[in-house]
Amino acid sequence: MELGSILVTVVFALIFIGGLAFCFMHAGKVGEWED
Amino acid sequence: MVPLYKIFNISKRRNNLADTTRERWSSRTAFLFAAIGSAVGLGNVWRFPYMAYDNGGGAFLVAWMIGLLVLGIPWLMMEFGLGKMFQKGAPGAFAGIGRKWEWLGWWPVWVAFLIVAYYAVVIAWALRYAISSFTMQWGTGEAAAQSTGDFFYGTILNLSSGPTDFGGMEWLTLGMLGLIWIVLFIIMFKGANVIGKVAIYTVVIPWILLMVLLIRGLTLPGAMEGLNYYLNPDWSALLTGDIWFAAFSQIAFTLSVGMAGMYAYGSFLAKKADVNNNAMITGFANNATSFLAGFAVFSTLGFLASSLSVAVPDVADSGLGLAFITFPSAISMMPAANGFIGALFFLTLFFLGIDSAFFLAHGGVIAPLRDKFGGKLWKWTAGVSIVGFLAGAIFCTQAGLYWLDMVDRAVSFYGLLLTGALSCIVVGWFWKPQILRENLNATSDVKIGAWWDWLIKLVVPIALFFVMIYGGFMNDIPNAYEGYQVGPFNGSHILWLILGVGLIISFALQMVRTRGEEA
Repeated sequence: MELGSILVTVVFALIFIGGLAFCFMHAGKVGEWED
Repeated sequence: MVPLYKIFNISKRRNNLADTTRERWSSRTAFLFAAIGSAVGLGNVWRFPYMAYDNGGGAFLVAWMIGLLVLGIPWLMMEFGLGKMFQKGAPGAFAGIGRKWEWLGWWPVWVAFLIVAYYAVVIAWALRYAISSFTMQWGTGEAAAQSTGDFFYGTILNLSSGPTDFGGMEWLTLGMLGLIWIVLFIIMFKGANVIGKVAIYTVVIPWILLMVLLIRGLTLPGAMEGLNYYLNPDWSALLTGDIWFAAFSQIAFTLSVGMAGMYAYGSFLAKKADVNNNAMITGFANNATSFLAGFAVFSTLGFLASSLSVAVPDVADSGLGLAFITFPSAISMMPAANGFIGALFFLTLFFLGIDSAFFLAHGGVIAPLRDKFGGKLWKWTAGVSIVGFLAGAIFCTQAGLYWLDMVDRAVSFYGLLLTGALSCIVVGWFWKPQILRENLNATSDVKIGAWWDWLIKLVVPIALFFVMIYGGFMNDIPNAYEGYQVGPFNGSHILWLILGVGLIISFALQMVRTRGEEA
């Protein structure tokens, strides 16, 4: 696998993990999770 | 997870499905899985990977993520939010904005109905392939791998010479279609309460199956070469219009917005429920699934190219061609467990498709009709299931693929983009988007600013019109779509006819009195 492909894999995996982590960290701030 | 046997075990107590009470999700988790299940569909597997490969690999992913943030998530927030605010499906939500706009909610209902009519047929084909996989009916080895097109067009479709040459009915496909509509009816007739619980399974199972396919793909020879075609970035592509067209179109088509259903799904939320964060989770989960599916697809394509001694671009494909011709070729060439991998792949397609199908049928069609006319949910569900099955029968004839292609182009491309753009224009310019924004912010975990108003007013409609004109009108107005001819009409005429009929029905329904409305 070429370096560019590896970098894209790592960066986008981090974006998705980070993005979903951000959402779940904020979940329940206003209402309860199980509404 | 709720055990499956408990999901349908609805007690005799008075539940929330009484005529006068709105359906409700059993929990936020159930809503999220239902929303993610509706967004994640066949396109995540058969469209996204090819779009990435064809438009600069990693560079496409950048444009695609920008599209998610400026187009997809704001649009999703609007649809969820209007549904939640007015506690109605798409037509009721637009009637809430102004009685004269109700038609704009009915037009995407037409879109949803026609999409689910043919989408269920595609799921039926996937089921036929899953069953055929156990005996590897299309064969193994290089000769079989080179003739999977014959199996699809001949054995499965028995394709005729053109759209007016209907030939006969493909009874096996029709039988599968009937079975799928029975399954859909069973999932839908109790409403959102059951749909949300079933969706947990229909989302998690294909994720697990995709992981299995991914691991199998990565362990095959040639996989890394395939992944280079999928991911290696060509940054210069970002300076072309094609990549932005591809990225915005992928986002528009992947999130299941513009098909009426997301309004209804939002309307099943309690008024105090979060919308903004749920929309973000749905969007990120959808794109993450596409990203993952790309690895499973391109590692397998890399293997196929390697085993046939050709280059990856020679085997790269998308849509029906990828699912029903190229992938079976790769399965034919696998060194072991061909039938098992084949069954896993087509069951993945089945599960990816089924939750999008019940989203389209229930959120897109049944909920708006029940909002308008009242009545028992099971009766509407039975009625829509029967009509959906009958409408789908045309796609089970030997000319089915031609009609599927035209209807898909009319509603899934033009219908979705046009109604989506017009919806944003009405909310942005003929209403006050800040009313909706304030409503969303009052109950949401994550607040959105005035920038959101401008995304709805300008960015989303401009992006959708750009896709519609650049990828549609510029070709379909001067040329007959795909060269089809149906009597005096060419393929493009059929597209405008389908859209026009939907528009007329939408205005007619607007003129009908809504249940409970004063005369």
